[in-house]
Amino acid sequence: MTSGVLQAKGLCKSYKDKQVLKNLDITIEPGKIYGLIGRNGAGKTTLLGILTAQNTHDSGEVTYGGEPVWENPKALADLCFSRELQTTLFYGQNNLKVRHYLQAGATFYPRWDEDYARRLMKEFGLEEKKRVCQLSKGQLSMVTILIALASNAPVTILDEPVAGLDVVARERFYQLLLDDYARTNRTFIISTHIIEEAASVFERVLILDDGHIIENEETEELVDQFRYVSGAAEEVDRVCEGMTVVHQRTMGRRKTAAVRDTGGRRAADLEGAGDVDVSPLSLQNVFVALCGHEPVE
Amino acid sequence: MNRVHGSLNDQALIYLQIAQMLEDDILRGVYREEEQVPSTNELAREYNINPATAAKGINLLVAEGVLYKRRGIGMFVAPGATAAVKEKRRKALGEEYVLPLLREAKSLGLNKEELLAMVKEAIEHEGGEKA
Amino acid sequence: MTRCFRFLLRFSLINLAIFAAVAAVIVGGAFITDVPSGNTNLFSTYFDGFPALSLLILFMMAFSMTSTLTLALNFGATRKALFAALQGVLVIYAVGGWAISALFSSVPVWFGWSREGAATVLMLNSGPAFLAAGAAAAVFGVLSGVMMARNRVIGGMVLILAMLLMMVGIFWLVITGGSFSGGMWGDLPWLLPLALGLAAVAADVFLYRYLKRYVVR
Repeated sequence: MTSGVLQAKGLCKSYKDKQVLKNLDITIEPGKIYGLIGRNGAGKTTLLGILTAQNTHDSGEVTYGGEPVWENPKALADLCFSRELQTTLFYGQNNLKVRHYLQAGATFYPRWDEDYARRLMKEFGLEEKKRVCQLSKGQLSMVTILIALASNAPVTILDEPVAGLDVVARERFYQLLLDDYARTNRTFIISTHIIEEAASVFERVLILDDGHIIENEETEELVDQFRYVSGAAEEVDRVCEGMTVVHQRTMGRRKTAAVRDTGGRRAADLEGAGDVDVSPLSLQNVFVALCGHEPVE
Repeated sequence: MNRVHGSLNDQALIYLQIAQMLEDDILRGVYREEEQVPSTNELAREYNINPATAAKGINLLVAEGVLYKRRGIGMFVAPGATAAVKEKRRKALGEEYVLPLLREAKSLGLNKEELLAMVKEAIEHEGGEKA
Repeated sequence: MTRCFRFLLRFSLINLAIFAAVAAVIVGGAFITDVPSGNTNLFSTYFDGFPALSLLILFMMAFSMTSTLTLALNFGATRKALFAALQGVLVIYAVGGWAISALFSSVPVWFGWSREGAATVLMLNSGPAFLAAGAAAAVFGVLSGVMMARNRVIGGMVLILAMLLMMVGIFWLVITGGSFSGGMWGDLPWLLPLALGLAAVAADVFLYRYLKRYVVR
C-alpha cells in the first residue's frame, strides 16, 4: 500500500498559557511501524490530533504528500486516527453505540474492510448495540484497535491501544498488528505507555519531550547508543571522561552512569576500559534516562 | 527481565539475538546446509517482532555468508555455513569469554599461575572433552 | 459531502421516526382516553401543547447531533462538508417536523374533534410560521450543542437563550391568538416567519464560524 509522507514543520501549540508543542518537526516515512512515546501530558494526543487535522495549531504546517492536511479530503481519506475512547464526552456520557463507530468507519474510510471488522468484533466479543459508556476498559481499547485495523488506511494512528488490556490481550494485539503489517505494509504510529513490550514491534521510535521530538530513530540503533557504566564512583568518572552522561545515580561509593555515544566514541567500547560493569539499556531505560529525571533502574 | 514473547531477552539487540539463534540452530543441526530457514515474516510472527528487525538479523548472516537467498523461495543455509559459524565463534571466544575471564580474575586478585591452574583443573573435571 | 450527508441522514431519519412515533402515541392516547369529547387529562395536555413540544423535540434532536458531528470529524470528515451536510439535515428536520405537526393538527379536523382554545395554538402547525420556527429550533439546537462542546458556560447561555426565545414566541402566540384583532394581527402571518427565518440564518452563520475551528479533543 503506498502512502505519502506525513510531515510537520515548526509546529507550535499552546493551551491557555502553556506551550505544549514548541517548533516541532516530524517526518513519518511510509511503510514503517512507529512508536510514539512520551510522558503523560507531553502532548502526544495533541500532536496526533494536529497531524490529522482534527486539532488546530498556532503556527507551522502539516502536510501529507506535500499537501496541507487541513480540510483536505484527499489527505484525510488516507489518515486514520483511532483515539483512546472514553466513557464520557464533553457533557455527560458517551451514548454512541459501537455500531455508530462501525458505520462511521464504513462511511469515511474508503478502504474499510467490513469482513475484517466483523471478524474482530467476534474475536473481541463486542456487541454493536452496546453504548460506549457501557463498555469496560478492555473493551474500549478493543474498539480503538478494531477501528484502526479495519480502516485499512495507509497511515493508521493508534492512541494508547493497549491501555485497558491485560497481558494476554496485549500480546494478541501485537500479533494482529504484525500480521496486518505483513499483509499491507502500511504506516502505523502507535502511542503507548507500555514501552518495553512494544519496543520489539516498533521499527522506529519517536520520543516527545518538552514540546519537541527529541528522537526519531530506528529502535535498535537508538538503544545501542547507550550503556550503563557502573562501579566505584571515581573509576566510573574516569572511564566516562568525555562521554555524554545522560543520567547518573550514586549510592555511597558506587555509581551507575547511563552513557551515550559521543563524538565518534561508542558507549559500547567502554567495556574493558576499566574496572567497571558495562551493560545495555532497554528502550524503557533509555526513555526514562532521557525524559524521566528520575533515578535509573 | 524476561520478555514475554518467545525467548528473547533485553540483554542484547533483537536482531543480533535472531542471528545468534539461527547460528545456534545451524550448529545444532536444526537447519542443515542447503535447508531452508524461517522467513522474515515467520520469525516476526514467532517472536512478535517487527519484520524489519528479523530481516536485519537474517541480512547479517547473509553478509557473513552463513545464509543465502534463493529468489522467489526464501533463505537457505549456505554450504560450509557450519564451519563458518564455528570459525566466527572461535574468533569471538577471545572477546566474549577469555577477556571477561581475565578481567574477573584480575579483579579477584588471581595471578597468571592460579588462573591457569583453575582452567586446567576445569578441563580435567569435564573429562577433557573436545569442544 | 455526500458521505457526510449519508452519515448524518441516518441519524436524523431515526430521530424523526421517533418523533413521529411520539406524536402517534399522543394521538392514540388522546383517542383512547376520550379527549375528543372534551376530556382533560394527561393526553389532552400533551395534545394541546404539541406545537411547543415539537419545537422542543426538534431542538433536542439537533442538539444531540453534536456527538455525531464530532464522530464524523474524528473519522476524517472536513468541516466544510459537515456544514454542507448539516444544511440538508436541518432542512429535513424542519420539513419533517412540519409535516408531522401538520398531520397532527389535521387529526381534530378530520375526526371532528371539538377543541377550544387549542385551535389557535394548533394553527401554528400548518403555517409557514412553524416551518421557520422548526428551522430556527434545529439550527439553534446544533449551535448550542457545538458551542457547549467548546465552552460549557457560553454554550449553556446560548442554550438558555434559545429556549427562552422559543418559550416567549409560543407564549406570545397563544396569548394573542384568540383575542387579537386589527393591524398587529394582520402583520403577524408574515412578520413572525420572517423574524424566525432571520434568526435561523443568523444562527447558521454563527454555526459556520464555530464549525470552522471545531476540534476533537
